[in-house]
Amino acid sequence: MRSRLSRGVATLLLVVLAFPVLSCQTLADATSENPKAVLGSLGGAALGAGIAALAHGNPAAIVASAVGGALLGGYIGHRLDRKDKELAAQAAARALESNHTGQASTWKNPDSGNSGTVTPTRTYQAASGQYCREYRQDIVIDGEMQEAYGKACRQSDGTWQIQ
Amino acid sequence: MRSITQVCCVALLALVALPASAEEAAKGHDPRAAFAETDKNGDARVDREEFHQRMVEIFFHGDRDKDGYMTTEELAGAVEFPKDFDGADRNADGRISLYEFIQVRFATFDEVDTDHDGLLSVEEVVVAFEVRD
Repeated sequence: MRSRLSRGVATLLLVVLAFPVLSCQTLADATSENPKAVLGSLGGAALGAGIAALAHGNPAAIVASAVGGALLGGYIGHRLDRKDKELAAQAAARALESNHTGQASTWKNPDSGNSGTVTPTRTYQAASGQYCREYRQDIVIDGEMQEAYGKACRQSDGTWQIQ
Repeated sequence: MRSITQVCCVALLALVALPASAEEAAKGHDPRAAFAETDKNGDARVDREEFHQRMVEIFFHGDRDKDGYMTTEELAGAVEFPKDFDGADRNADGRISLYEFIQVRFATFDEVDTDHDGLLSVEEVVVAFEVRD
């Protein structure tokens, strides 16, 4: 169980809510090409909201994370620090890979005081055979709760790709 | 002809086969707990969509390597009575797809729905459980 979790965290993790700019492209691909450009795109996204985080091998290796959307915009993204994003990424990895629907994975950064949950809300199998999961994400920053919804599909390499 | 016992068993186990949480696991195969877990909208009825969702959930977690199929070994870890799936592998590829899994489960939904309202009540599920048990 522990090894499964570790693997899940170690592999690419991404949870982005409705970012068309990243559709059909994992964040790993995007950031490897031009991390700054991706972050810029996310910061300027007009639709959707959520967290994107990437962890390769080591959670500390998160190279990109952003929050955006019509309501949240880049506001929350700028208010989450690196540790927040790392913890959120780990929580999302656990939730998507292992949690049952309705079961939340939580994260909390004692240093920043920020926290959040990621909860799968529906599981299905796409025509391609991929497992996909819809989820809800709650983020509390400075005591202010923000919620967002999205879906991601599992790739054959164990990564989760936003849809 | 399949006995009513077999019929009830298959549909019931679609709900109780896999604990959805540690809390549920602690309760054992409690049909009422499984029913509540499946009844997502809390209307005291399990409709086909809720039934389907439950089965997808069971399949997803039972498919340990997440290749989209359940092997005999994975099935044994996911459901209490794997023999219910004898013959489920319709294309004989040695594994059970989600489609094949659901086909087995849905084959008995209407038969357990004894009042034929298209929904499963907790009473119908409990009766089915008791028949099997």
